[in-house]
Amino acid sequence: MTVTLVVQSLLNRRFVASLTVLAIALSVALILSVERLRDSARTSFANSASGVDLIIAPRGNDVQILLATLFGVGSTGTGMSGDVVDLLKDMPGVAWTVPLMQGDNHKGFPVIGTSEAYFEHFKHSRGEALTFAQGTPFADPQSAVIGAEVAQRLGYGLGTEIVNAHGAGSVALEVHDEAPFEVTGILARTNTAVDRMVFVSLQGFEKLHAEAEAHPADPLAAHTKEDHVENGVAGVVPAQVNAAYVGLSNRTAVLGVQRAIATYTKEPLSAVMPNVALLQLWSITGTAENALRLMSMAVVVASMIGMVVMLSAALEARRREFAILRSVGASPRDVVLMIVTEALLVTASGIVLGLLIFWGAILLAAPLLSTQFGVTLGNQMLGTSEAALLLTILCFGGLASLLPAWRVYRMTLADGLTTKL
Amino acid sequence: MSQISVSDFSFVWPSSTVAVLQNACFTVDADERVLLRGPSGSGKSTLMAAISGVIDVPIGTVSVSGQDIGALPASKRDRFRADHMGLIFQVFNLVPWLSAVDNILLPCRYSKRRRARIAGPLDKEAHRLMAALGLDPDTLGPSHASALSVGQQQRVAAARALIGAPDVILADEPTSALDPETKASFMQLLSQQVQDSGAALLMVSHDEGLDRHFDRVVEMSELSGVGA
Repeated sequence: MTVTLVVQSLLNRRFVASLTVLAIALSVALILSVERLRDSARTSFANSASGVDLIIAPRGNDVQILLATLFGVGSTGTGMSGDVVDLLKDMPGVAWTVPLMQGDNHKGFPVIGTSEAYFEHFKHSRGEALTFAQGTPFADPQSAVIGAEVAQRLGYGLGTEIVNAHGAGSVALEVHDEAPFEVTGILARTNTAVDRMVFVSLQGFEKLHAEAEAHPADPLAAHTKEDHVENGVAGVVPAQVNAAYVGLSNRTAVLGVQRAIATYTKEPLSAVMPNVALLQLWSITGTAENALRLMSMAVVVASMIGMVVMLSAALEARRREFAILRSVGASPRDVVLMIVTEALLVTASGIVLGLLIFWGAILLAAPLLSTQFGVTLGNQMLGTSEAALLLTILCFGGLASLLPAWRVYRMTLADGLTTKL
Repeated sequence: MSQISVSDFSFVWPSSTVAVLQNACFTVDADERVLLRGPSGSGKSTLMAAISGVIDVPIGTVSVSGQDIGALPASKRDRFRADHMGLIFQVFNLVPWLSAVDNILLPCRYSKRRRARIAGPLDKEAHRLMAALGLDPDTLGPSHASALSVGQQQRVAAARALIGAPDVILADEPTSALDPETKASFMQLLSQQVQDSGAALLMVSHDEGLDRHFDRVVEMSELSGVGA
């Protein structure tokens, strides 16, 4: 009953009312997007990092190492000796090791040189193994395996020849066009950073760089390198790698391995626990996240203030209307209820419109985020925390309307049935 | 039994020291049409406010349809007003963004009693009243109140006061914004409809020449100072 009256009243002021609804909708879309982005980034990163117990790399910043290895963002800098990987293999508590070589990209997607052990041991999203959608792991040194996103974005299939470029960015400064790889395997989608990686064999990766640097001043050095490349086909770790993943058979072995790495005298190394490094990363990005959240909350508050302004500004002009309603039997309470209903209706419309904008934005942004950052936006329509957020905004809208409602209450009491206009 | 009964009623507005009404005594019978006449400031509006339950009155001084208005709390007075009284004001009677029909039906939103008194669909009754008051329901019914002329607005207001057959119609100078011709036809129609519905009509006005539409004319000066 009140609602139909309120709807008619709002329609009468449809211009201002729809602007207010739009303001609320935009703020709702903004806050939902910020929350979704944050949650998705965290989940995505945590899923990418969930199957590796330790990352061994040349000494450096933990976060940098984590980002470079698991997410293919940036690089670890210098390489470390391949002997370290062999050494790790024999440490007590170590179940497996996967050597990694990095520094190339394929059309902006990071290229990882690794062994077949990667596909066997790497786990993501709380213990899921990698599976092949098509093809097999490396058949020969010139094989490449690509992530689902790479395959989809670039339209690659089995047998496609790919050429990698030196460097981490999408600008190809130096193209290794003398050594093309052939796609022999495409991984199933994982919704982690793996989807946007290109994997080649260690041998293939090394050969590329060995050929590029095949004119050394020291002929002996060139010779040893050639040896390694030939040996590499048999699965031996090359002389230089960028990092290694370590899986432990026993979680408690982590301290022993870390100590051994820290006290390794031949070269400075770091042993990074991905989950710990992730926490460090969150503490760095947390400030920015909180600032972003605070901003989006401020925008919500601003839109609510806009609504209170709309309701309050109309009160003076509506005094007569309220007096008329009182004369036909509306109590001051009914009038107050009208104002609160109006606010709830405006807020609810804003929320609904905001949701539509939010879903539209997700639809547009999801592919972009997935390709550029390997972050997969959660595809659920509305999470429980998001629903709770919206409910809070609705309550807040109702609460905010109490201010004009209180004014109108006093006004109707003072005015009675006749307006002194 | 008198439909409206005011006995020994005195009133001083909170912001003033002078009593606008002193020991006023006054009754209106059911079916009776009474014109209350007097100059501005003679307490007409105060009396209307007291009867309609907008101001607080002492217990035992004002009763409508047998109900002591002073004995009701404010919220009950709102409900009682919706159930038993139809009000018409001087100007600005209508909610501008509602159609004429929606304006007429407003009391039915707040009063079950008046809704229950209407046999058949509400819209039809609103249309009937419009037609009875000389408004074309098909063309004017759906139009916004703000699009109507002042004369038409007053007729819509009259229809709203009459809908659901309340016991009492209170009219506070409903004709003062109308030109003489409109005034006469408005009074004619209102008077007729009130008589048909069986309600008591109490109208205050300082207009001359309306006497013939009423059963009785009371001067404000006759009210005050008369002991109970």
